[in-house]
This record gives sequence, structure tokens and C-alpha cells, in this order.
Amino acid sequence: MREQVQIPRQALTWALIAQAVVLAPHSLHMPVWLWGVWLLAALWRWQVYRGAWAFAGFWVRAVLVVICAGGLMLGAGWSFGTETMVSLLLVGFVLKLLEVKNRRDFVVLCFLGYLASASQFLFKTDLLASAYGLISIALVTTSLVALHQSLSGYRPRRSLMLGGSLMLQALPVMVVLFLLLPRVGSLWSVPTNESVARTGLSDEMAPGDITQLSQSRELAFRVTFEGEPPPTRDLYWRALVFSEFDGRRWTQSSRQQLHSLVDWEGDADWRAQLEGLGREVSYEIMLEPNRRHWLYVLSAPTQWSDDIGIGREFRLQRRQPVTQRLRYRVTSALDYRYDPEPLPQWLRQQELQLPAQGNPRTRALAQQWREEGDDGWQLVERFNRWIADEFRYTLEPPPLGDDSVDEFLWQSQAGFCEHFASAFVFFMRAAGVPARVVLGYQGGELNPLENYLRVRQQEAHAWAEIWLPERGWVRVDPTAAVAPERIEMGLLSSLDATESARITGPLDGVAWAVNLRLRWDLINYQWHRRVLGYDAEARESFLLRWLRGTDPWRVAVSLTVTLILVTGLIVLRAWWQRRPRYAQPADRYWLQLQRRLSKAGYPPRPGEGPRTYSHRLAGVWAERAPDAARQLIQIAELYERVNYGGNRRALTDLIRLSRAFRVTEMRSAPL
Amino acid sequence: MRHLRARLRDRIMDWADRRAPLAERVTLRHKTIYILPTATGGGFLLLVILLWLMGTNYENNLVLASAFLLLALLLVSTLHGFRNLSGLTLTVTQSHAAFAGEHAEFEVLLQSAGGSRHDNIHLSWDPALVVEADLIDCSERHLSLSVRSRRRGWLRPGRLRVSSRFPLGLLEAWSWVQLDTRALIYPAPEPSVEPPVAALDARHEGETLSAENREEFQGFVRYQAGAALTRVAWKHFARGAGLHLKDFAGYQSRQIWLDWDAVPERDPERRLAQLCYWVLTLAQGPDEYGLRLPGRQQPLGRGPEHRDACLRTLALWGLPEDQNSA
Repeated sequence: MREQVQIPRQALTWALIAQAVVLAPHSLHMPVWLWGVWLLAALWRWQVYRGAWAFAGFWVRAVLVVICAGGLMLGAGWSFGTETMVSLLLVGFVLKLLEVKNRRDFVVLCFLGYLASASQFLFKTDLLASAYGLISIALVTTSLVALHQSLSGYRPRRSLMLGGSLMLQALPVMVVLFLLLPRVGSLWSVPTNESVARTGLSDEMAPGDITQLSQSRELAFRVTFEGEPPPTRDLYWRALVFSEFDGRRWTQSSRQQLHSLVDWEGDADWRAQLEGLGREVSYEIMLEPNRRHWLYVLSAPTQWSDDIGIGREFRLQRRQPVTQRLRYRVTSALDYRYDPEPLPQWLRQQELQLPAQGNPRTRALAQQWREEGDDGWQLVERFNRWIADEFRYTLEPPPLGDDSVDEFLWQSQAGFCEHFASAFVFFMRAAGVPARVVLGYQGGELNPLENYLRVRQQEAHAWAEIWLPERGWVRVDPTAAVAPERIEMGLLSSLDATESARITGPLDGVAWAVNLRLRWDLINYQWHRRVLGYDAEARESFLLRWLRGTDPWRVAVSLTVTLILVTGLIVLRAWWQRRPRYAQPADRYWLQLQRRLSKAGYPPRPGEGPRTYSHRLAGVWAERAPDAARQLIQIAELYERVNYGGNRRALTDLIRLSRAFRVTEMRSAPL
Repeated sequence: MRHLRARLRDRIMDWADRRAPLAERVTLRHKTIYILPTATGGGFLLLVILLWLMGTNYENNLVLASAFLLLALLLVSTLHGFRNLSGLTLTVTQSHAAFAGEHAEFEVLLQSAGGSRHDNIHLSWDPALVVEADLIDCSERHLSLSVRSRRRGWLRPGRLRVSSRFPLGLLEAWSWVQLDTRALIYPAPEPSVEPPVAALDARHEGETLSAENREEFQGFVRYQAGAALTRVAWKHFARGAGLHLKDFAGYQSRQIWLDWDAVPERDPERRLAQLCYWVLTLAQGPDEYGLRLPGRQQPLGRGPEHRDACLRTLALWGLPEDQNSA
């Protein structure tokens, strides 16, 4: 019967507010016209409430649904990604408004609101987004509360206060559930999130690519080291290795691109070629989503988290692209020897590959130095000396033509890391030394507040690796020869004032602003690490630390204790609100006496005041206990004198007499 | 199957009755408050599961946290639902008599203990007659609750269901309250043409009729154009019986005995119903009247008290002793 009752105004108002708040963060990925549909639906529903318009008929609703869903699918190119699914949910959420006729419809609307609030977390998970999501959920709860409150003397604030306090009381329970309930991995694969931008490195390198990247202050990943972080000059975060050169761009060789050659189990025979030489460092990386397979790591990784594979060139990678923030742990040997034995033929060929033609001058020079007797490391030192003296490190290199290496080495002599790495590797290969380009990041900004490293896109870097007999693969960074500050101190210090201005933020020089930025980043980092990164592994260590074990019964006991605690607190609060409050000083003593009398079997009748009550009881007791009857009348009179006569001195008499009054004797008296 | 369910229901009700004995004044406490999820609550649980699946599959901790938050909300709202009923005191202050088939009304005083708030409480004896009340800005409220009566005699309203879906509608908290009260139900009046008067009393009738003093009700006649509107029997008209005029005759006060044996009906209940009709009819006139029932007699008299005494006699006639004295 009640299900048919019309939706009260306050519930509708709160629902409309909640809807606007829930929809707002979805603006980033939902089509703009959905706002128009919402405005139409809200207006329509409000007019229905006012009695001005009728409910939309079945056909109107059906046409609206088809148009909206069709428009969405058309806009999304008929693909079923997360974004499309969520937008469809939002369409349902908005159009449901048109057919909210009874309470059940309203409840469905609220449930859709909860779903929509939670699904915004699929797109944004930072601290602000979480706080905002909490507010949306609180507002949906408020609408639900407004539907179930009395209408008499209604004030909108009451729903909000109650909704808010329900949320606040639910929060601690949520935290405990979050910490204690077991985590299950993905049960089935879900559509990926297309809205995550592909930022950062790409799987090929042409001159100018990294230069562009270096102007982005966007975060690539954060690193926390166990113990002291290594010096900046050792922080070469490798991701990709390029062995194929077509004269202009570097790409991975077909072998390097093959997924099947990646070692997922840790049993590939080439792993025996790695030998650690001391210095090891363990660290945890939190990678921002970038929709790429590859991960970042310091050479040479010796241990890493599960679900990660490794390629022969120490490229860590995942099976799926990274669409959510990803946390993984790695241990690396900073000093190592890898592949000291002669390379297999196919590998040697791959690392010596050069295009058939082009860059004749570089080839000739390499040949010449070779003939002059230089070999291996001597070639590297001679090359580095050359570029260190004559070359310039700049963000604005002149454009290069077809023979890019020749033009760079003899004409422009100015460039960014990719130019140096590219020219160096070409030169070494021409001289017969196996070499390859490595792409990744170099350095990072240390947050002194918590000792973690922020690696931003502007730290993107390219360097080289060459193979020497008996020493194996050796890292060579020609950029370090040109601009050693870049490697030791970071990009900013290696550029002149006008160039560095291009990559700094507006407030980078202001101390407190920098401090504030570091602090905010720290909070966000901790949020990502501890809250968003709380997984099965983190749960286990939490349980071990606080419950001294991971047995289910410990979890069950803790959950029960929490429930009891929360229940106790809420009951205590209700009890406190319900405690007797006395308007007049005498009330307290009179009511105490009245309570004792009620327990003995003489409750006051509804509406009976002290005078009539005492006289009635005195009449009952007149024969059997005349003293008590007299005393009771006296107490009632004292009460009246204190409360209505303003006689404060009578209060002490009242207290004395009412305390001295013995109710127990009356218990057997018939009423 | 149905039998089994009915038995189970009876068992549960017996158990609930034992926990909530009959009393004039009842305060709801944890012992008598029951809470179960509603259909909406079931849907809400499905929503929680859906969110959990979404959070698990996307490995998104915030979506998982939302699922846990909603689950926590469900738990917290249980406590609020309980608190909303707990401490409510119901006192029956009065009951009103009614005719069988009508609604008997009971005046109930709803009080809160101390300053606690009670929002959106539903009270009903009959699922079709729900009264909504709240104690938010005040600490007590007088309510008038009704029960549909079926037959004459004492009506005990039975279990009063005090329930609330506050605050989120996900759970229903309720209590069965047994208020110690009763209402007298008179027989439903059944009109008949002739008053059931014993033959030996017939001599009183028509003796001192005077046409000048037309103020006493005699019966109904068909409507005639030009008649005073005050004479129209509006009640009959409202029932769809057409326009009739109340016919008044100037009787002098007579003494009329309404006699059980004079009712031209065999069924005792119908006899009582017709007697009831005549008691009500005569109560509007100047005559003194009395009731003669087998084994019981109501002496001649007039006035509202007399009428009520007659109705009471009719209501309770022939019922078992405990019904009378209860």
C-alpha cells in the first residue's frame, strides 16, 4: 500500500542534488549531451511533481533510451570498453528519473546512484577523487533517508545530518572490513579502460621524441628504496632496448618484440649468464597507468614480484597493459657481469645491424679509428672526449635530414640524449662493437619528507649498452660526457636559463610552494601505496603484525569485536541522549521517588500531577500506613513550593524527605 | 504445506506473546523488538555484491571500499532502526464503542523516554489501517488507532504491530505489543418495518396522537415537492435510497417494550440487530422504552445512558460469562 504513495518533495530534491553531484566527476569521460538529457529529465520530473506535466509515456521513454544508448555507442565506435559501460549506466541513472513514480522506483534510482558514485573510481583514484566519492555516496544516502523520514515538521537539514552521521558511523566499520576481509584476484577479465592516456615513452625512438617528453612534468612512477637510495648517477631506469635502426628511428628487433621469448617462469638458460658483483638494492615501484606492457627497473634485476616476465635484455614486462596504478618490488644488482662469454651468432648479428646505406662519414670515421688500433673501451673514451669538447646539450636541436647521424656529428653538434645515444650506437656498430640503445628514465626527484623518489616524464632518457669481450654488456651514457650535470644533478642544472624555464613550473623557485607540493605529493603517494595498493600481500603482513596470524578465526574474532564496539558506541550515544533531563531542580528528586513508587506497583496515571498522584496514593494508604501517606503529601507540597513558589530552601527538605521515604513497606498494600 | 506454515506461524506468535505479555502500558525494549531485512535490503545486498565483484575484477580498492562502506551502512542502519523503536512507551488511554462492522477506535498515548527521537513509526492492528507517527519535536503524541470489528461483544484488538523502516528502508524493525484494552461492539443495526412490540403492549400505541405537536420521529415518507429541507432524510439520500422525508408525529410519551419474542426472525443475531435498530430509533423519540430478552431485562427509561445500557445488553447477551466480565 505504501509503495504507491507519491515521492515526498524533500526526497526528490535530495535525489536531484545527489544526481548532479554524482554526475559531475563523470563529465571527464561522458559525452556532454548527457548533461542536457539530465536537465530535461530533472525538469520533467519536477514539473510532474508540481502537477504541471504528466509522466512521460512508454514510447517517449523508449525513444529516449534508444536515442541515448545509440548516441553513446556511435560515439564510442561500437566498442564495449569500461567507459562505454559506465556511460550506459549513467544514461540509465538519468533516464530512470523520468519514471520514478513510487517508492520502489526511487530506491532503484538511489541504487543506480550508488553504482555511479562507485564507478567514478574506475577513472580517478587520488585522494581528492576519493573524498568526492564519499560525498556523493553520502548524498545518495541522504536521499534514501529523506524517503524514510516523517513528513511532519520536516527540515531538509535533518536528512543531511542523519545521512552524514550514518556515513560517519559506517566509516570505521568500512575500514575494518577493508583491512580484514580477504582479497581475491580478478575473477574474469574486464574491459580495459580506454580513457587512460598513453603517456611517456613509446616503443620506438626518433630524434626529437624524448625532447618533447622532457617538457612534461607528469609523474611516471614513484620508487621507495629499502635503505639508502643509490646516488643519482646510478639511477638508470631501463624499460626498452632498441636494436634495430632504419637510418632514422630505432625500434625493437622482431625477436625483442616476441612475447614467447619472454621468460615468465624464471627458468631461461640465459639467466645463468648474470653474475652479481656486490651492491644490491631492493625497491618498490608504483607505476602510474600508461597502457604499456613494460616496467621500469635498475640493471640488473635479480628478483621481482610475481606475474612479471623478463626479456633477455633485462626488460621487465607484464602480460596485460598497465591500466591501473601498479605496484611491484624488485631487487637489482648494481654491479654485475652479464654475457661475458662470446655472444651467440644471432645476437651478435642483431646488435651489429646497420642499414645498408647512409651516414658514410660516420662509417668511415669508425673504420679509421679502428685501423688506428683503438678497440673496445678505447673507442668509447675517444668518442666521449670528442663530443665532450665540441658538442652542446640542448632542448632545441636543429632538425636533421636523411643522414641523421652524419649531420648530427659534423653539422649541428647539438642535441638531446636520443641524438647522442643514437649516434654513439651507430658509431660503435660501424666500428664492429655490438651495441644497442636503451630507453627509460634517469634520476628522479627525492622527496625528503619520506625518502622516496618521484620520476617524472621529464626524466626520460636514452643511453647505450656495448658488449666487450670478457666484460659482457657495459652501460655507456654519451650524454654524461656532454652534460655530466644532467646525470649527477638532473635535467634542470644541465640547461641554460631560457631552456630550463621551459620545463619548470611557475612556483618552482618559491620555497613554501615547493614544500607544499612535496607534502601534497607525499600524502598522495602514501594514499596510493597504503590504501590503493593494499592487496593480498599487504593484508597478510597487516594481519601478521596486528593479529599475530592470518588464521580465519582471528579475522572473524576481530570483525565481531569491531561490530560489538560500534554497536556499543551507538547504543551508548542513544542512552546518553535518553538520560533524564530536569527542567527544574526539584524534578530530579520527585521523579526519582516516582520511579521508586512505580516499581513498587504504584505508577502515576497518565496526566496525573504530583498533587493528585500523592493524594490518590495517600487515600490508598490512609489506613494501613498513615505516616507514609502524610509524608508523601508533604513531599508533593515541598515539590510544588520549590518549583512554583521559588522557595529554594525547601529543596533541602525535599531531598531529605524524599530520600528518607521508604517505599518497600508499601509494596504489599493493595491498590 | 499451508498447514505447516500456519503451525509455524502460530508457534512464532506464541513465542512472541510470551515475550510481550498483556499490559496497559508497554515500553519497547530489546526483548520485544525484531529486525529483518526488507526486499529493498535484499536488493541492497545484491548491489554490495555487484560492487564487490566490480572492485575485485578491476582490482580497484576504492570500488571495493565502496562495497564495504555500503555493507557497513547496512549494519549501522540496523542499529538505528533498533534505536528508533527502543524506549517507545505505549499506553492505552481510552476505547470507543462501535457497531459491528465499523471501526472501533482506541486512544493510545505514544511517549518517548527522555529526549530520544523516534521517526516515522507505523502502528496498526490491521494492515489496512496504518497510522504514521513520529516523536521528533515532542515527547508524546495522542493517537487514535482503529480496528475493524466483526461481531458484537467485547473486542480485544490483539497484537498491535509497531514498525518502522527508518532510516534507509533496508530493514524493518517491529514489535508486537499486547495492550490490555477492549472495546464494546454493539450489534450492527438492521432496519425493520414494525417495532418488535409484544401484543399486550399494543394498546399503548397510537393512543394519544396529536397532529399539532409534530416533533417526534415516526418514519419515512416519499419526498413531496415543497417540503422543508430540514425534513429531508439526507442519510438515506446519501446511501442512494432516493429522497425521503422524515415524518414526524406528535406523540405523547409512551412506554414501549422491545420484545425479543416479537421480532419476526428466527436467527438470534438478526433479532439482536433489529432490536438494536429500534433502540437507536426510539432513543431519538420521547418515549420510554425497555428491552426484554430471554433471561435479561432492561427496565424502561430514556436518555443517552439508558440507550447505552440497552446497547450494552444487546452487545453482550448470550455471550459466555468471561466475555461479560472481562
